[in-house]
Amino acid sequence: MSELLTFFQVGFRHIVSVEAMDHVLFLLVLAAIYRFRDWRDALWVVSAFTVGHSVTLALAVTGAVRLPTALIEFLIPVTIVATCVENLVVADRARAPWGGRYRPVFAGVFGLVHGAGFANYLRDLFVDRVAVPLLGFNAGIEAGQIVVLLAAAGAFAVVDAGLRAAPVRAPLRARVVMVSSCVAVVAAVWAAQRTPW
Amino acid sequence: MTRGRGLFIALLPLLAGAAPARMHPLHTTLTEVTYGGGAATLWVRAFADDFARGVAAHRGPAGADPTLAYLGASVGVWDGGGRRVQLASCGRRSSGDLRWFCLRAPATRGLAGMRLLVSLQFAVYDDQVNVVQADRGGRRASLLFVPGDTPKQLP
Repeated sequence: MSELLTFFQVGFRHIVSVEAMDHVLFLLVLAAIYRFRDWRDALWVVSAFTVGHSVTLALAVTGAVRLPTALIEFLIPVTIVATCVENLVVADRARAPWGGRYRPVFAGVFGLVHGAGFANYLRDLFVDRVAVPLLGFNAGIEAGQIVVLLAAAGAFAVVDAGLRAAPVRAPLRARVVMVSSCVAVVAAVWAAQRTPW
Repeated sequence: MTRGRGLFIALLPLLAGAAPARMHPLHTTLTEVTYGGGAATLWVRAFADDFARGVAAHRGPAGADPTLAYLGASVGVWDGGGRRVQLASCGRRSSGDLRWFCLRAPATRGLAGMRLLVSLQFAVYDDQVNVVQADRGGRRASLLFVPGDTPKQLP
């Protein structure tokens, strides 16, 4: 098997495993505000997140920057809570500041934090000839993210159908509140457990 | 709907208790295989805490070095004739969170036809992935082992 394909599998498995719950939950809350017809907006946000974590992954694995593991592990759930809070606070997306166009920027910045989380493990293990492992690992992560987002879209469709049947006046808003509240509680517990001071 | 909303809010604190405490570690090891002097040399790199859990969960023969017993049981090498090769320890070292272990296997015919199985930490982590990289005259080939795998031939 080629080195690229090997590390593609390592990255893919890293994202779709049950242990990857922090990353999966972040993707879930990032995507929670979108409907199928908003796919372009969702694509911008997820792409910005991908760019963000790719940048720090590359910088940290190649040794260009060294980030304190304890701080990064604390900041990852903080980014999840912040995204949940944004979901909950901005009830009307049409009236959001800058028409909600800040969201890709904020996903990109949070992506920097998540990428540093991956890098702290990879850098220790792959200390020499990192280019191909890094490329393969990152491509695997992207593929895993697509699988997670497709599963999330399916789950949201089921939730929406249930809410419409309830019936709920604003099913999308109800979905956003439900998903964001649940994830915020879990991520806040993680943040408290990982406080580095 | 008000009752439903109240029930939802009441159930939220239960999620706090259900939140798994674990972070998102990468459960993996890297084994580099090189050939020289009629022997294959395997350098196994593992995270110290994960490796220690693997050693602790392994029941080796009484009186044996637990680390070597664990490595012997979890790293298997078979020659081209299908015979399991006895591994000898050729050193160990630590650097930061990593532990490095050197194992040597006689390989009179080189790495051709050699099969490997690295099952380190499979007993303690369901998402464990073990990567093997073999350097054959500057050409690097890789193998990937996940729980349930059987020995694989070096490419």
